[in-house]
Amino acid sequence: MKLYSLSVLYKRDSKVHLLMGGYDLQSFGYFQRGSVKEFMVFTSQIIVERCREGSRSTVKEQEYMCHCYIRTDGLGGVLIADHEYPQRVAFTLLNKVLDDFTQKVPAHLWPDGNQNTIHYTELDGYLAKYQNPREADSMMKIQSELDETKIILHKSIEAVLERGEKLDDLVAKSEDLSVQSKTFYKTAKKQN
Amino acid sequence: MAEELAHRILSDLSTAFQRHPNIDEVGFICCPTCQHNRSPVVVENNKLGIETWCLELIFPYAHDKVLRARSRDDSGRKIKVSRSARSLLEATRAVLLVQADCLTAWNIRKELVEAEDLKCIQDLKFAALVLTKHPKSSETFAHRRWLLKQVVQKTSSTSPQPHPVAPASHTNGLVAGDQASGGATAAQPLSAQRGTKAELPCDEKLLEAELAVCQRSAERYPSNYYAWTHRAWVVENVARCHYKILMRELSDTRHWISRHISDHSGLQYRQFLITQLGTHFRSADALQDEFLPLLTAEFELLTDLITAFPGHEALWYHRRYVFQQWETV
Amino acid sequence: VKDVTIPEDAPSDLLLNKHADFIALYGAKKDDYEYCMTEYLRLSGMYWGLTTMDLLGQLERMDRQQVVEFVAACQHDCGGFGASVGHDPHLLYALSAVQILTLYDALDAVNVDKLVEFVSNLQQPDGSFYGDKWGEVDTRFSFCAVACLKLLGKLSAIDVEKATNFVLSCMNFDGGFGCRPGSESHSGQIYCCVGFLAVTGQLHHVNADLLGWWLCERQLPSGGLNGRPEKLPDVCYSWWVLASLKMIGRLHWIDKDKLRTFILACQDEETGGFADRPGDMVDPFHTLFGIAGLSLLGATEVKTVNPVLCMPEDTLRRINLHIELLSS
Ligand SMILES: CC(C)=CCC/C(C)=C/CC/C(C)=C/CC/C(C)=C/COP(=O)(O)OP(=O)(O)O
Repeated sequence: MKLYSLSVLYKRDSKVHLLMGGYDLQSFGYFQRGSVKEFMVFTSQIIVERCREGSRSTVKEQEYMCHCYIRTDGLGGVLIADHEYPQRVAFTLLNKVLDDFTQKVPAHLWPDGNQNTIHYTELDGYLAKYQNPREADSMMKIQSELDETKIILHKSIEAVLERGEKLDDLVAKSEDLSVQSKTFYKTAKKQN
Repeated sequence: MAEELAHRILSDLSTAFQRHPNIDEVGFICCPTCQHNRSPVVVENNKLGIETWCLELIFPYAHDKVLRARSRDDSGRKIKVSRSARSLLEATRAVLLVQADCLTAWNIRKELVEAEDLKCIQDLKFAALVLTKHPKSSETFAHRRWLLKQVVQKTSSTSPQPHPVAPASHTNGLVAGDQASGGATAAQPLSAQRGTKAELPCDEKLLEAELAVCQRSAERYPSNYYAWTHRAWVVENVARCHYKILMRELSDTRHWISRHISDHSGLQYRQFLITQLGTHFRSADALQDEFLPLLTAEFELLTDLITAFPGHEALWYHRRYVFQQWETV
Repeated sequence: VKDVTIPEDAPSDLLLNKHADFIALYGAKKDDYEYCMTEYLRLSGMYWGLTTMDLLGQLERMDRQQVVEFVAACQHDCGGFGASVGHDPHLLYALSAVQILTLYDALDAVNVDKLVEFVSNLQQPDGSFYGDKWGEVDTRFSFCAVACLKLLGKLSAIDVEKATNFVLSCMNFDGGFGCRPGSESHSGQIYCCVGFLAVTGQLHHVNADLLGWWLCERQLPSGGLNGRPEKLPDVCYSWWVLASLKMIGRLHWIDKDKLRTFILACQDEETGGFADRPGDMVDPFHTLFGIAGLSLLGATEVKTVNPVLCMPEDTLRRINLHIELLSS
């Protein structure tokens, strides 16, 4: 049961940018962590771009589950976890994080914010604490407030892309991914 | 030209190992072409990184060296290991870091151990390193079992053994002392085997290290068949299914499986432990007083996990087992 | 549930000729790094490729003489076979060697007596088999030993009763088998143990309903089969699971249409060959087990495969080898 990344993003006019991210990549090989991190950011961004404001969705991608909540005010959160992590806890955590973020970071900073201008240091703490969903015992209780039927499930990233769009092309075109990460993506796809 | 480069990278690798005796992880760095003038072998934080572009250079080169150690002369007769130990260690190391299932390369290392050119403990360390990159390499685990047998054999021939506890099922007679299943230990009263004072039949440090290797591999690859069957082998053949170790393992893996609820191999390992423990409680009273509570605790653990994390087949499979044990008591 | 989704544009017809081309080409690029990386299992790789070609009815495209000479060169003085020239002998490759030579009716190219000696020398007092002289024990090796000897007509060279007792000691409460006593049930190991019992004519030891149930639970919503609970589906299990079900007379317990759809979706339309899952890289291993799986499902475009030895039935008929299975 693992949480890998928790990011807060901002979406307006279908443009999306990352405000802050927290990562726990211990379980990956030392030399892979850089690329894995880039891909987590890349994926989170794509998902927020493709999902609608006011929606909750979970996108399965191979070994990973990307839980995404975008509020109507454009603030979005993506939690990347493994298959074992309970979905309900994931969404309760996303709620909590976005609430907390809203309290600590004034909304006027969101449109032009980035990791350097925004001061919000809670993400790593949340990640560490909720690695064990039992820690969130009180959350497990209030989960019932969340209506699970409203969470949209996508079977792969391809499923959230628009017609004709291909993940491979997006990877190839991306300016945020390093050459090393792009090769990593290609070889990871091949080797199984 | 390519040969020369491969040769140079191989010696870079050797230098890296010499300079950093505590390398604890190996990984490949994705890099399709050689882009700079520095060596493709880097060590950072005691992690060894090898750039991927050079693999197709060093692997065939080292592989060829390994095979030449096994080549035959014109009459078809095998030439005994013909290279210096040092160069064979280097070549097999390079091959195995890339292709951990190359059985011949591991065998050459076994021969080097037999010839005392390589220490068992040293090779256990190398094999552990290989597992950080190839956590489910069956040949690497098999090689470890061979090494462990050597170590156990040596220690048991130098220090007189307390009566080891025979495992419930096969040991395959593989380990020193050649305990036939069941046999030799019947003479020892069960109470003595279970008493906390009963001496462990093995080197505690060796055991700890081995369990840690299993744990790390299990973490790296979910439901790692090889890591968990190896762990059971270690408990049987190194710890001789000692009561204390079985109980400790049962308690140590409890937390792990609660955090890996779909890992059937981890849960199945507990089935192995419980089955082995069952054989320690042979009298009707012991079954009632000690074994049943143990099964009850397992039931409760499962009930808790199944309710908290619904939808996991592995937990239900494990529950079937506990039911079946319950029935037989 | 951990599973895959089959893409809408996945292939749904058997690309028979593409697969034959893929295999024929595979051995041609011998200087390739990938080829060097897989040398440690070359004889098995050749068995996968040649059996695929035979099942597709195109074995004549391969160079028989070259293959037979290569296999012969892999035999050691002790009688065993290494995976390739210069590699150490092991039971795994002894079986592959015998299977290849049987396909080609060329057993006379090697020293059969020595080989029988090699196999029987690896049997241990408890009936188990070492894979080689270094002492690793696994039920896979029990299967390799009896399958090999059965093909050579020399089953009597070992103590079958003891060997059986060992295999049965690896049976678990769920009806499955693991690699050693007390080890987790795994579809691949089940194939080996059930195959062992089939070869030695003792399938009555299997609890067919119990095991059949466990095997059927390996089918996922995508139609594919996995090897153990909560693992991803993989084309190779359409062999290990399906062949086991066939041997114990329970093949009709799974959803054949869905499985066929899954297997076909694992083909690569461009290169030919099968991958473990839709969209992954293809290789000869998954190609054989994809095609052999389709054959068990009743595909008429390929030859009938024998579920115990994974070889064409017509080859086994030629050498008069018949293995009794449980009826459904
Ligand atoms: C004649 C034929 C067809 C075969 C020869 C006999 C042999 C060697 C059969 C091998 C059977 C086999 C596949 C055994 C399984 C070994 C094992 C324990 C694999 C562990 O599997 P993972 O690599 O973890 O794969 P999963 O994750 O899918 O379980």
